Amino acid sequence: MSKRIWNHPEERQTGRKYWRSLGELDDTPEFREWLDREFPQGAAMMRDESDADVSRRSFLKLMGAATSLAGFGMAACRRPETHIKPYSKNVEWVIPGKALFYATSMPRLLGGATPLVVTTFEGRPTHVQGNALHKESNGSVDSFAQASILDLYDPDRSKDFLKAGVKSTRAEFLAFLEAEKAALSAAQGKGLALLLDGVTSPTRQRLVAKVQAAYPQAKVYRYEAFDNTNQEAATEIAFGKGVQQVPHFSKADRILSLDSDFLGLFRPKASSVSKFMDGRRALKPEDPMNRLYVVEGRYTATGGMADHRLRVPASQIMKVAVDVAKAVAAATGDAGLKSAAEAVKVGSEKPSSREDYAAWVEEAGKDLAGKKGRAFVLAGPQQPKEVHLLVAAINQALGAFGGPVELKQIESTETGTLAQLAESAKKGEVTHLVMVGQTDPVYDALADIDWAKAQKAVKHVIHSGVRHRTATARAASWHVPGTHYLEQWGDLRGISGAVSVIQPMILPLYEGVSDIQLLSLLAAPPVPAAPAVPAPAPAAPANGALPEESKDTGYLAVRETFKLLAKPADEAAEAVAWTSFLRDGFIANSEWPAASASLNAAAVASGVASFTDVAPPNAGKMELNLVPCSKLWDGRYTNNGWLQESPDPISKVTWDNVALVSVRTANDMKLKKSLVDDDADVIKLTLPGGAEVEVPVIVAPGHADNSITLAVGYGQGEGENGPGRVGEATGWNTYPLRTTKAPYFISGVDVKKTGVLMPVACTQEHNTMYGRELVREGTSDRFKEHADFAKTEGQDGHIPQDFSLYKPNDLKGQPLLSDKVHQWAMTIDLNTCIGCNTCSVACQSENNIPIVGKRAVIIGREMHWIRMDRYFAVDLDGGHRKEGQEFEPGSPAVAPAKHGEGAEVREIDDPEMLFQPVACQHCEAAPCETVCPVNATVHSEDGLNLMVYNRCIGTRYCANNCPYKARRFNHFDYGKREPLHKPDGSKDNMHEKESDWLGLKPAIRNNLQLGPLGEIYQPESLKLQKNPNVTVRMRGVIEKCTYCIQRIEAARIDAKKVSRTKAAELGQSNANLKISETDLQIKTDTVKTACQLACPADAIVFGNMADEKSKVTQMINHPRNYQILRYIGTRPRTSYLARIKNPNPQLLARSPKEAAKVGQATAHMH
Amino acid sequence: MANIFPRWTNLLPLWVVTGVVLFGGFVTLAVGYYFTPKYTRVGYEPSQPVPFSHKIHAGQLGMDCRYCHSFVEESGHANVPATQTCWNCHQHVKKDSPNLAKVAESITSGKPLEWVKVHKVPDYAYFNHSVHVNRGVSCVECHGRVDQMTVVKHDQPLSMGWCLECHRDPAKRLRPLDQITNLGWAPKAKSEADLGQKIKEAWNVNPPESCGACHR
Repeated sequence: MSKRIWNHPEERQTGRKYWRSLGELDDTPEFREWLDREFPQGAAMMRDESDADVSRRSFLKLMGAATSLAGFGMAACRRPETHIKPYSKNVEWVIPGKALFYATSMPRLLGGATPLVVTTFEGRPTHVQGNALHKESNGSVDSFAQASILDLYDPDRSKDFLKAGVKSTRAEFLAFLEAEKAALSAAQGKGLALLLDGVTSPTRQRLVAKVQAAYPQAKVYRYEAFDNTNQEAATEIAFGKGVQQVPHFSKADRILSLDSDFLGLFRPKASSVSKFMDGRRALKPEDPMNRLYVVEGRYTATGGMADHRLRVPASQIMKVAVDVAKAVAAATGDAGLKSAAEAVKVGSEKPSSREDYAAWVEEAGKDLAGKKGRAFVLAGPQQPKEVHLLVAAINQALGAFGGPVELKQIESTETGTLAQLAESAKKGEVTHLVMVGQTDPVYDALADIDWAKAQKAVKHVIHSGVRHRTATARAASWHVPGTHYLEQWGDLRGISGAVSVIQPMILPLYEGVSDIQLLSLLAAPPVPAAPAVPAPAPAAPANGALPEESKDTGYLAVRETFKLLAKPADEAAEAVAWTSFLRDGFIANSEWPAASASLNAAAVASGVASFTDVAPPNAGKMELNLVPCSKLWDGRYTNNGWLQESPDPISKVTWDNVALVSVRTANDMKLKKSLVDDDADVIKLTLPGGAEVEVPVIVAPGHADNSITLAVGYGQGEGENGPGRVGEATGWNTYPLRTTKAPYFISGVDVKKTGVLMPVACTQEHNTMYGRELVREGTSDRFKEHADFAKTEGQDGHIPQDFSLYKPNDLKGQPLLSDKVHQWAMTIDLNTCIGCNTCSVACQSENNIPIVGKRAVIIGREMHWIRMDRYFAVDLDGGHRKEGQEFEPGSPAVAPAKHGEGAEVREIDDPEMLFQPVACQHCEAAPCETVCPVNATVHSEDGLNLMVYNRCIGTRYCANNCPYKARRFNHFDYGKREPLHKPDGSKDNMHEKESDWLGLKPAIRNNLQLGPLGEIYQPESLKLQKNPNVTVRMRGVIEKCTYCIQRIEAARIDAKKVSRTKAAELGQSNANLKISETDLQIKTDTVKTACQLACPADAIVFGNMADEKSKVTQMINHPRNYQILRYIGTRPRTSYLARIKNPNPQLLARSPKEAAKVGQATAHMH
Repeated sequence: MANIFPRWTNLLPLWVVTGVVLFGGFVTLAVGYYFTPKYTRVGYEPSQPVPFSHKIHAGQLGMDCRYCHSFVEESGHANVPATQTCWNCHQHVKKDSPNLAKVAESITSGKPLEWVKVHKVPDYAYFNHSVHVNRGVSCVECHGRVDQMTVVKHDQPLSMGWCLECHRDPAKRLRPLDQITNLGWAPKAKSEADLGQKIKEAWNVNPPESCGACHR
């Protein structure tokens, strides 16, 4: 028999093209070369022989000598003595080796709560997931919540009381505080100011009121770098005081987002994504789908999900809002809306250069109006209040209030702003300033407030928080170490008012004082003189209960608030209610009451009139958008390695903030577009006010022209003045560009190319599965006609029957997949995936995956088991190709233009964006298994592709043979030698381009550079985060997704305990007991992987395909289900469900461009 | 010139080579055989901080293993008891014995006792006690007659090959669930000779042999 050679089908040359980067789209020789290398990542270190410092010969010489010397060290190889340390007293509920789960919640970044369930092992929290019981959660989390556990164990977090930056003690601080309290008390609190962050906590609110009662002249201010004040101001004008708008996505069929990333960064609630997706899961072809219109300046997760997307610079959104308002008013005949739309004074320029712009807004408006009562419009928090007012008027016309938008009556509190505080501080009116929560105004306040100067004018500044390596803490006279939310008592109000608990999972690791404890201290009457010697700890009473006075003040305060909120009948009822509060994590029925307010049309019409329009940006006067970072938010997560290294969902850049521009703007400015060599152009931005910044720029298809997006949160310093080992020297500080006048978008920015190149760690070209139709998409109409369209797309239409080389039986004829009751599989629904990376971070937390640092990411050594591929799809012949006409490469009429020239540029700037998470596919016929020389990767009888670390010798043949590029290699001992630890403590400049990776030149500074010669050191605190059920991998082994095998095994073992329960039922021992295979089957859908639980859209389904009742079986049999690279015969266990778009037929009829694009990403590839 | 080297030296290099090969082979075989857990681990008998005798407690007094190792049926770990468990009885019995000084100290100070670990599998192997004791494998199969040990010693190799021996043929080592902690139990001569096989079939005991069962 001759050897069978499988030729990959040639990539079809049609007009439709998918690409992850412009390098791929251009198909440059450099990109081809990168792909064709056997190990592109490793090879990147050594571009040719001359780069090598150590030749193969000298390497072998050294290794030979090392091996012979190893013999001398063998003399003392006894296993070291290890110890078992049991508890001295048994701890309630704790079973060593078993996890416990507790409900708690985390403050959301724009206010509200993310309800969580935390996994703890012997009192150490290791992983978080959403609290499915909680209405505002639905079990959803975001990547911030998922990564927050790492902040708890951050070795650089605040540990000590600092007096003017010098280590002090708690006693000294208390003595100072009591003395000042006495003085302030005498002065009625004159000069005292409290600066709170945006956390919405009832206990905190109560304590602040108590402080105000104790110090009547004290002032309270609230500050967050990014907040919702524009919308709040608009709601107050339109509806009156104390009203809050709460969107309900599940009640809407048509949604228009005006620059609101409500699926990504600006989720109103943790559950928003899954509620939105419930309206478009397309499980059956006849299921109705909601329709999403998005108008935005840069691609966001929300824009990627849009059925129709319009790219418009942020400053021009108002024009679109006015046009939509007019269309809605015309369709509904709403006079109030018409007059409100006409009251806005906007220029006559069109906000978009698209020829079908008028059709787009008209049809969108008509479509919204057609679904009156089930349609609404949202505007982003960065849009001015006039936009929000006009949106309220549109929503009123659409009948959205009371439907998809609920109005809640909240308890509002009067607080001042940071600007007001700065003003009175500069006037010398503030003598004592206490900052409570996570605030860092010296770093992130608007530039024209000049907060640093204001803070200097205050005599005593007490800063508290978990981060002490911030600009504000350094400038404060006292720093009080705060507690992480996992170490403290507290409570939170969600956006709809539900009260959630924050309960401690662990005692404070350091001397932390929680915000509630600090406020309690302030609110308590001053103690005349602090005792010099602390009173001895009261002896533990015999019954084990803590004496009341030794209880945490935070606990007492929260419990008191609870009594006020839950209003229990008596003591006993209170105890029961409190216990269920701790168990469930929330107080049932504690939502805000509905507001009876109605829209004040006259106030809206006069409110919108104050809008001042700006001209659309042009090449000389560009627009700059300053946005919170998808990883660091306002910068508070800068020292969180999981977030720093998780690629931005859209740009795929790690470790830095870079400027994003459209393809056309990049062409105009002659910027470098491909990132194959990891270098990006640097541009210089000059603002009208004179502020300047130089940042690298990358091209972001789908961005508005002449507009630049730049994230904040980076550039927080280096070394001693830096934020810690992870965040130091990353990115550029862009806060100095923000001013009160233009905090979010700035017009008239001058942009120059500097000619300098800078390395950027972008993962978009790593691990490419080149040129196959991996992501599939159709329209709702196509789905109705031809439900299983995705199965025959691309090469999948031409697969011969029984084409696999690998046979399903072993040599004896027994089936290899012999387990009859368990066969594991996963499906990922691309229809609901928003590319948010939460799964990837959850996987990192569950599976002890290390971070590797910027340089290692540049050469492709990132370790994430799940990589989130982001694809753009564009119809390069612009919809001009006639039906049935085959595309001929090189034919001048329909040749895809290089994106450098011609009118097609605009096409590339209006692509579809699709996401696809790819992890190990657990192929039944796995190519990796056949090439491993040591059987370190083998198959289990229940269908898992196993990775046996202790067998692996690191040949990496498997990674090379993996068609999905899902295997990762431990180049260094990341677990033992903490990558970012610096043995010599010297400075490290991440922006410098290094070419001497293993050359051991003086430039090498941290463990990451030193590699195997690094110092064996792992901070104790980081060890606490590790999942004890997953091996911490060592250097030289391959790793990859395991389908969370530790969870499967735990469930399988639990199922086997049926022997004991059945024996107990029988009442006698022994062999009379009958246990069948199905008795041993794990209960349907009880094993859930970390990524599945983390997914806010519920796109990932994992389960047992041998169980007919399981959800995964349904999803595998779903018509939209397809496997990637099916034609190579690997029979992957992970499969995908094609994405469905629900375009507006009227708009498609009027716009050939939309018709050629929406939902057509793979339509031409068959 | 006379021959300096006698004729027999012609064969000397051959002898040397043969000798080196044989010696090398012997060393390799010896290391391969004797440097295994069967020889390096079995018999390991470290002295413990408290001279606790399993012989007295589990043997003479007949205490069940699960009085102290209370979570063995629930958890992967067979927990070493908290000091409090010792103190349940010893606050009344032999409270002032010098042998119990460290236990008393641990109770008052709250610091844990540091027992020396005897049985240890590598970090990458995840052995689970609960699944074994719930499926008819007795403690004695891995730990030996602990009820006869004054000082606990390593009884079985606990190597991977040794584990697999039983996973491939479990019938010999299965027993009724109520006899799991009865370390002296043996099948009654004739009538129960094939009890293990019966249990294996009736309970559907098919121990996993794939790597993922223990390594992850």
